[in-house]
Amino acid sequence: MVAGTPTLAKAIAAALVAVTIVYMLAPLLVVIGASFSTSSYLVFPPEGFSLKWYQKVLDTPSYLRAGWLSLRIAVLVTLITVTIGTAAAIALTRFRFPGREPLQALFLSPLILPAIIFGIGMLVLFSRYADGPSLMALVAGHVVITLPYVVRTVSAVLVGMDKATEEAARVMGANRWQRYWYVVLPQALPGIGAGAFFAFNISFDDAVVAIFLRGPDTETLPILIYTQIEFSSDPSVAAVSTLMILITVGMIVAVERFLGLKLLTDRRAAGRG
Amino acid sequence: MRRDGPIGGASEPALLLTPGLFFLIVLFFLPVGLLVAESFVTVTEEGERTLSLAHYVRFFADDYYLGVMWRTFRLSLIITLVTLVLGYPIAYIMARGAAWVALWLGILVIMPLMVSVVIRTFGWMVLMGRGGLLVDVAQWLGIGGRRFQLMRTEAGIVIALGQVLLPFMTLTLYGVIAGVDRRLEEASRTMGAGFFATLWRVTVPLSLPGIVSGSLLVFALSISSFITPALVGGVRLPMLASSIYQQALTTMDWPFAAAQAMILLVAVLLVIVPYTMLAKTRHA
Amino acid sequence: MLPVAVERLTKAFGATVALDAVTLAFAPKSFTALLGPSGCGKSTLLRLIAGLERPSGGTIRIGDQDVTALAPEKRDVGMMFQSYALFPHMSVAENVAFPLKMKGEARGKIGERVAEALALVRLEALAARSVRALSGGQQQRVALARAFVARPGVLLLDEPLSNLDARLREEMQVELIELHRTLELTTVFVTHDQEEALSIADTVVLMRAGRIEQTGAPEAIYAAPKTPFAADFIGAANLLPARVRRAGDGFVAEVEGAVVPVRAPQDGREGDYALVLRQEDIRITDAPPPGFASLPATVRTRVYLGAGARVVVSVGARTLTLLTNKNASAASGAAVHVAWDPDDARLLHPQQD
Repeated sequence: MVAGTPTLAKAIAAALVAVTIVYMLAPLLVVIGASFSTSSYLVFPPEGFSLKWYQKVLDTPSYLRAGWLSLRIAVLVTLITVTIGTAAAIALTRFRFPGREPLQALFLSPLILPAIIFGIGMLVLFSRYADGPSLMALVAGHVVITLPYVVRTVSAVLVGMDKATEEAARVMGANRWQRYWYVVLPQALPGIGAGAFFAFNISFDDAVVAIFLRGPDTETLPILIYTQIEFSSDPSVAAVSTLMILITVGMIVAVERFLGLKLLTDRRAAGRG
Repeated sequence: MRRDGPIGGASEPALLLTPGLFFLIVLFFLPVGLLVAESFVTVTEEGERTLSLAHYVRFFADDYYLGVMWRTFRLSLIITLVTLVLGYPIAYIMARGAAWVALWLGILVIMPLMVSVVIRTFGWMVLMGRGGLLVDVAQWLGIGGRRFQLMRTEAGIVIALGQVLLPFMTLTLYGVIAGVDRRLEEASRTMGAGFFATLWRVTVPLSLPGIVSGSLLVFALSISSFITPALVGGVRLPMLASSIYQQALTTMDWPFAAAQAMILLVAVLLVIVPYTMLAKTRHA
Repeated sequence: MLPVAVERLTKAFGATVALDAVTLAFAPKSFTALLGPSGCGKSTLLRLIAGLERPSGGTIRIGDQDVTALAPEKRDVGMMFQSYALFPHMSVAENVAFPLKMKGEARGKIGERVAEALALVRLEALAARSVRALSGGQQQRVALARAFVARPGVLLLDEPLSNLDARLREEMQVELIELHRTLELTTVFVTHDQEEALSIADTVVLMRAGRIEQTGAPEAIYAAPKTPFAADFIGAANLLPARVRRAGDGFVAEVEGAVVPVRAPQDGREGDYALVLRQEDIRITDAPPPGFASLPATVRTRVYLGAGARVVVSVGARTLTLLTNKNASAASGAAVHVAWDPDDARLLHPQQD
């Protein structure tokens, strides 16, 4: 703050920060706290302390199946999106060709469309022209909604890259593939990493597209939690939610360690829910 | 102008873009296009599909759906104001405070954003449900009577959705306030303006583009929110997205769901187009 | 150390002709400076030799091979970029090893040659350092080592010293000369700094608007500029419009209303010329030596330079800049005479810009 900030302003600032901390963290702390309760109903503050709801999660096949499915979908989506998104970002930043700017906008357009509209569109598409929603439909849907994030994070890094490095590699005898492998991709790595984080995170957390493509084979963890809490349930749902929060926190810590948090603050137009 | 020297084809970018374009065209524009078409289709009594505006007429002629739309816009406006009032000071403290303050506030703002919205809403449901902590506190403060509750109320939707969307407001404002030249504030102070006068007459006007962008963004996200309003508001207090969900998956009336989706889309575009234009001029 | 030759080489970017049918030969082991103001086509020529631009017309030969249609990676060139273009994700040694690795050299040999190259630019101690952790001067040396480590047939340097501060630049000029003597590589470097070109290169190619204005050894091009542009760009000479006519055995010129003796123009014809006077050839005097040309002048400004001074004087409607030794007194506003030996003045045909 500018030197000479009055005490009153500092006091107001401290109070506002405190209120915001409580407001932002309250729902997460409540879920984490409730998961340790000994009571058989959801309550915060928790009554007593027990890990029995975590035991129940591990003993419940539907949780395990949904968790395993969500994980597999997220990994698959991340691999596909990072590959095609990085390729697109390279084309959109390193080449000049007619129609480049409209194409850039095109690749970011899924950000603008509310997920609910996309979800029902996918439902109509796969019901009309395929055998109804399927695992492949869900994976494809997640690829589409995560693609803009990868394109944007990778583009941001590539735009800042000295174009002459590629020319230098060329003059030094590197062919097209060697230029990609030794020069472009290594420099794009921070953007690819951040994009991969977004892709995994969004796919793993998504409930909106998943709820429209819901079927016997596509009950992901967020969908299972959604159905559980719609009709109040025991604290095992809090336990499984806590595990999901833990995975997210772990990933944020990893991103912070390897890439720095700045890459994540750019999640401007996310908002799925 | 081509950067490539001799050899090296124009086919390279085309090749790189093809897989992405395939996904966008077949799995994004096709389903959305189908939805647009669907919204204009009416099935006659003979089972023929004809083009008509019937679904739109039905929406705008029915007080129930007009009510849904009115609730959606009204609550979204309130949520936008709430996030603006809470978000501006936090963004200001992040932009002007010490580096460690900015870092930790940043983590605080981003972290909940990365947690599934289902889980965040779940937390609010526990807090606002019968016997929930928030309800107890409210009663203890004497706000509500014995039958006071937050679940299934508009206040509950505002509280929960406000928390979900606050990060977007804060991050947008932070970006703009951090870009306001600090020396302008210092100059204002040397000219006799106090801290609050400077904030009000220098910083706030200069961050106006951020205030507008953040508000447009939060409003657009709010009117298209589904999970939080559906879980907190329940079936009795639907917002547009929940209504679309109802028509699509419960009533299975896809054309009507599609028409509502188009109305939502138009509303979102009306808000998001100025937002992107503003964001573009800011980055230029 | 291959010869390089370009013939009628042309490059157009849309409607702009960056290089206009340039024919030029670079001898093996020569050290050539491409000199000129920005936009004169010197960088384009360098990039065409490297293969980074596709020519609109003409041919490029390196050694006895026509490389016009050859991709840059297949040409035997080394290039140092103005931005250095170091790979930020690699160490110093990895950067320098890159061209050898691309050639498929054995690992042991790569290590050897990288060490040798780093020793030549005195960076042995920093081999394992990330290039991002280096100073500008150190980065410049890495870029240089990376350009010559594979001993290319031609070494291309694009404004190699422009990102250094004045002191480092002078140091590096000497090092570049010594490095060229050691490596004996055919070297072409681009610069907009005439002093740099004159002090480093053995041949200077002065370019202007996509064409070659004059080529020659530094001494020759400095002493005998062929055009007013060359005179002005190399050595910042004064140009005065002069009407030349015969007078007895010799020639005289009308300059700013006065008549001064001049040597015979090259073609011996009367007419309008540009009288070229170098700053160091003009002196301020009250009594011009016999045979000297002299004009009345008014001192406008004197800029102290330590070893001497730069004095700006008005001669009629014109302004002349001259260098004096430190003892010459010249107060602002003083009425003086400027004088020069007619042997030091050159008459050139005026040029359209």
